[in-house]
Amino acid sequence: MYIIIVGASKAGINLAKTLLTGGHEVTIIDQDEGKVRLLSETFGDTVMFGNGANASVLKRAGANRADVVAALTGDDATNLVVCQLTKLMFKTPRTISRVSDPANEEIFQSIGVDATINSTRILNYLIEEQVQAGDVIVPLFPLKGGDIELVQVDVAKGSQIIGKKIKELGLPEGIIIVSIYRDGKTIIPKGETSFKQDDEVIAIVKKEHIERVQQLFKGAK
Amino acid sequence: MRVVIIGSGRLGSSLVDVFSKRGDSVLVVDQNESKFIYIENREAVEFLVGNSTDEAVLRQALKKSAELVLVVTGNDYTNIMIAQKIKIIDKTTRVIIRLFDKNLVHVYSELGIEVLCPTTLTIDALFKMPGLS
Repeated sequence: MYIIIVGASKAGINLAKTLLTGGHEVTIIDQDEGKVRLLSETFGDTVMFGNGANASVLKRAGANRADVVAALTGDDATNLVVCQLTKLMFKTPRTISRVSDPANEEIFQSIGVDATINSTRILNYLIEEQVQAGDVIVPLFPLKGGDIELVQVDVAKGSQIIGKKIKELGLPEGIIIVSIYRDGKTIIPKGETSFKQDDEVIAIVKKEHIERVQQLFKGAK
Repeated sequence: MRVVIIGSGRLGSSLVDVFSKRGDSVLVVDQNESKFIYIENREAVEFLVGNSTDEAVLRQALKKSAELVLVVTGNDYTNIMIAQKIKIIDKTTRVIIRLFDKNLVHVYSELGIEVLCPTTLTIDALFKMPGLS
């Protein structure tokens, strides 16, 4: 895949490293000339100087053949324009944006950005719940309407669901287990599928059931 | 006419004066109160201090329904975001924004946002000057 990352923030650089290791083609765009010079010592031609919210810069970066554009600058308005430009001018199949102000998530979704990453919300969650490793429910994507979320949660050591089948859990209607990632493979689960420690689970959850999910997946003290 | 002007820089504060002198009802918004000093005609103008990318501030600004909103902060991307947020709050409000980057103009015009671009306007005006057309 070809991925363009706008904004050489820490998140942007780390994402680029992960993607490059995974064999993907990456371009990072940043408008801080000094930063670009420094980064190009490590990343070479992968780093490009310019304003990523500018159509001609995006064109030079090859936006018309990009599979994903990730807008990761610290400014929500800039990220909005990056996503909108790439969607409208370059028909980018998938746009992802960092959103700093949780109140801005609605507008990103209304203009058709495929996924928003809200670090403020994730951090708030971590602090509020004072969670331990393994108890973290990461909100991936709030579905339209707002009271249903796609989340990722890992099966912690000592969790009560280890060894149990999905059908034995007595899940309420508002929780659907979508996939289980285990040993490098993704499983589409059925009622007979059982959980193992460290499974990475993607689920669709109604907000009112988030706590129930946490109860099920959390580790034993 | 009820006019809301967002951004009280050189253009915004001049617009405030022009509209208020015409007798229009004007509300001006800026997150920095000190920007209001550029406004000459102060009596007939309402002032609101706040960040207009914040929905609560926009709702406050649009409380008395406005016929026209001019979004003229110094940042193109901020103007774009504000315009789209206004359209979510009230589709029927007429919004005109200022964008310096001429490449953004047709993208947002196609999305139904009215745009004024000083770069294009200056170039057009230049070639209407004597001896340059």
